[in-house]
Amino acid sequence: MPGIDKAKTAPILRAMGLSRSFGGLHALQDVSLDVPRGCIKGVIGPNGAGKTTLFNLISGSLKPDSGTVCFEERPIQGMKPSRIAAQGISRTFQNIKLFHGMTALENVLVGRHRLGRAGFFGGMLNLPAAGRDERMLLDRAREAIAFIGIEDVAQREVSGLSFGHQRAVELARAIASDPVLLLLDEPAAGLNMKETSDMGALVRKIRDRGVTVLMVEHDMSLVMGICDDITVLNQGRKIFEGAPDAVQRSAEVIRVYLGEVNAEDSQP
Amino acid sequence: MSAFKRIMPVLGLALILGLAPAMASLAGARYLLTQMTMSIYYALATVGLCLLMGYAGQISMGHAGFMAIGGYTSSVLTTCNLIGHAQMPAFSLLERSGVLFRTVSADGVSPAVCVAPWAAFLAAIILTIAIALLIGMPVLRLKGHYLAMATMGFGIIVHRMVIGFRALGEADGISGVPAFPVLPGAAISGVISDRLSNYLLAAAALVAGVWLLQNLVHSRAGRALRAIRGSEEAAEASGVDTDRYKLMTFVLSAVFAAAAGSFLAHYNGGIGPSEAGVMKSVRAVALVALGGMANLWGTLFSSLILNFLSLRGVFQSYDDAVFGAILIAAMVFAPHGRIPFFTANAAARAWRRLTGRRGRGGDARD
Amino acid sequence: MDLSLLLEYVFAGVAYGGIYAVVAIGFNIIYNATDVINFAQGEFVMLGGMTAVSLHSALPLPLAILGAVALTMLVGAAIEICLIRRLESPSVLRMIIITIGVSILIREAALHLWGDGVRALPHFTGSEIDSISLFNARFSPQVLWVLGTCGLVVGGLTIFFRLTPAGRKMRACAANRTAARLCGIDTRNLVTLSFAISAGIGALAGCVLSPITQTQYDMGTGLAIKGFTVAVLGGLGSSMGAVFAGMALGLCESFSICVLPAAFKDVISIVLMLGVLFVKPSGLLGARSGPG
Ligand SMILES: Nc1ncnc2c1ncn2[C@@H]1O[C@H](COP(=O)(O)OP(=O)(O)OP(=O)(O)O)[C@@H](O)[C@H]1O
Ligand SMILES: [Mg+2]
Repeated sequence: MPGIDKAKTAPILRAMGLSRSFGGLHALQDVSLDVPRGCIKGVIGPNGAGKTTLFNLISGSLKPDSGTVCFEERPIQGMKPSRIAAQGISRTFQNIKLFHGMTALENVLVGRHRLGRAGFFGGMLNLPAAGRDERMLLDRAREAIAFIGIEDVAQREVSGLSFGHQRAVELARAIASDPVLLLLDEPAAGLNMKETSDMGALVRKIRDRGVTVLMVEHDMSLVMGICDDITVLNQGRKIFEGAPDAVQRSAEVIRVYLGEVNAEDSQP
Repeated sequence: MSAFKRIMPVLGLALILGLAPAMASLAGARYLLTQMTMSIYYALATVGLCLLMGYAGQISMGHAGFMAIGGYTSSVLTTCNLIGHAQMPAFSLLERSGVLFRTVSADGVSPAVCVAPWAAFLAAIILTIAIALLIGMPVLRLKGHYLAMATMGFGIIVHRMVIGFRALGEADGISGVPAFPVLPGAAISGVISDRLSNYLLAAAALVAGVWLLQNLVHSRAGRALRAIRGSEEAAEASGVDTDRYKLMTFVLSAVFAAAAGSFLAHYNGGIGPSEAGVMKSVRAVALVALGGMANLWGTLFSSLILNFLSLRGVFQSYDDAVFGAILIAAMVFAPHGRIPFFTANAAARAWRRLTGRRGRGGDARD
Repeated sequence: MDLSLLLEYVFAGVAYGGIYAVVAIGFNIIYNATDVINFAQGEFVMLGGMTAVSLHSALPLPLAILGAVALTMLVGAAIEICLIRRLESPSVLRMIIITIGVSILIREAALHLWGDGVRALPHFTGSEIDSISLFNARFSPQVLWVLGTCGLVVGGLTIFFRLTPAGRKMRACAANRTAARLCGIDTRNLVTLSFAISAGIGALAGCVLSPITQTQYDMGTGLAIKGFTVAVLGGLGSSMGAVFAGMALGLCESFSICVLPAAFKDVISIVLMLGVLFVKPSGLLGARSGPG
């Protein structure tokens, strides 16, 4: 049947003509992007290119000045982030945002929130249904924690965890909601080489569970290693899009990145 | 946490509150019951604020405003004389359904018709919900000092209205509020001979309230509230409808305050504008801060103890200053709102040390 | 309404407006340095007035005022050194609660020191019954003192922030605290200074206001709310904005007598504040004070 076929091949996320400025600064200008179902798509670009802004526009943390975002062929731009999350898009943050004062397990349980049922009053009266719901959430949260491999810190308060563990908890929280699309903002930032390659393997594993991944990352070996498709942003504009080897060959990308590399080299 | 373990502290609270009057009698100090009852009602209002401020992280400097709305609504409705409207068609219907009841007016002879306490209570709660929704929707979009100032502004407006309107008794407040028969044979009133039953009613209300809140904070919704406090952006991204949760919490905490205010008005037989003062709101904030912010039990006990001491006049003319000092001390010395003395954790540790037993590692948290 | 009555309302409104503007500027100075709204701002005004009244029993008026301003500045600096400085990266909630606690302690200390009666400084020139007449409208010369003080504060601060090294550093600090610190500016002492200045101009406002409204230990909260309203209306951080917004609020209050019972005069500023906050939740200034 052609209908189903089309649904299978249609991109899971389609952003069209997204623009957003802060005061006079055009953080993102007329960026369009398709994320095919079941792939790992990378977004790269120098600092300030607008990568995080793009994520914020998709996840609803920011409203676009113009442009549309369609998820599963339904427009989602302008919705509250919680409604967007409820449709199956979850994300991590570049500067980790955990719920301090709560344990790792509780953090992951909040990630599972959208799939729970118990409401305010059910919880207040401790109704049996709320109890069942809670046990279900707990089982699934433990699964997510096991999947990421952080069982040993599950009961620890998150602000006392190491940086790597905090990233892992955030990732566990993001996948706990059984997302369709996962947005990862620099998942390997601050990790050492071993941890970075572990992270790469983990992202692959997540994709193999059927989750589509859109990932911002500065670590080129990671990006080139696991991404099926890469979008390059520079100064708020999309300058290139293609497979990893095509990106590596693109003169435009090399120019942007060589400038970037030179600038970084000159720093101690 | 199992239902059993969750109910234990609540039973413990019931036991402590139940034993207190016996101790007071043994010590020959039954007169203390009056202040104990009042501090229980104040504590009921404060634990509501604890949910909003401690768990959801939304400061409210206008909590006393809701307490006053509850108290004044009950007081006005149960004391205003509607006999002039007796010829209205709805009147007899309301009277037959028990919403109105006949009594005598303040002069002791002329007949009067007032709203029955239960109906007034219901009206107070409904009015509170309506106002909390109306105020909460715009106010909860604010953060930090804007939220603090806006809620304080709300509290001051309530205070000014109470002082400014003749119908609300202006500076004198309202007196002659009748007893509120909540159970057959037990009424909330200031009658000296019913002091014990009144105390027990208040204690029962507090235990019930704490039980509800304790369940809530350990539920999915309660976890969402703590997540909002941790990071509103991340909570939203996890699918928590933060606007809705904040609003629900605001309304719930307002209802706790209004119920406490209404009960207290019946207990005291009246209400005055000082109940709506800014300082009353600040006190509630101080007690939540002292209790350790996201700590229901800490708030509960700090509220019971300090309100009792304050009502007994222990602090003399330094009453407000004590609460000011508490605010500063709690925030300077207990950065994350954890005052070791009050945390359940510390209690659990002490208990284990006392009994020489070791609990399972993961359970110490709740 | 005839012209003279109208003018009298205008003068009263402008006088109060000037005071509100100065209180708002006090908020702004601390806010620029720390991102904190100091809930004890109104108490500085009360403290200035009360201290000046006490000093005036022994000293001539100008010296009493000078002494009151200096003492209040010390109190302001002490608050910063004893409390604010100790905190490392405090949350906004914590700072709010602390400054509220401070305001209560100052108020209670004033109650125990000076009692709950009203006190007042004498009019700076002439006496209570003296008045200046303009188009048949009569107003107290103290109004001119208030306006003069307001102008002096705005002018003085402008010079301070633009021309003195300390003032320039404070502006750098307001623009970007981390960058200022990296450039070797000792931001901590600047914060202390901003508390002292803010307390000082609050105290000055308390002195010029005292002959008009008298001073009472619990006048702080009301003034703080009004000052905050004005600060938000004028855009947090902006002095000129504060002056215009202050005048606007003063006039609103003054003319409200025509339509509202006097008991509700204070409600106007609160309603105005709520209105502004609801329409533009981040405050009128937008970016700097944005969500967070
Ligand atoms: N909330 C905001 N307010 C003002 N400016 C912003 C805001 N968010 C982003 N910007 C600006 O928009 C531009 C793009 O920022 P963005 O965070 O999207 O970059 P990025 O590609 O994620 O960079 P990085 O690699 O450093 O994370 C930057 O110049 C940034 O300063
Ligand atoms: Mg980024």
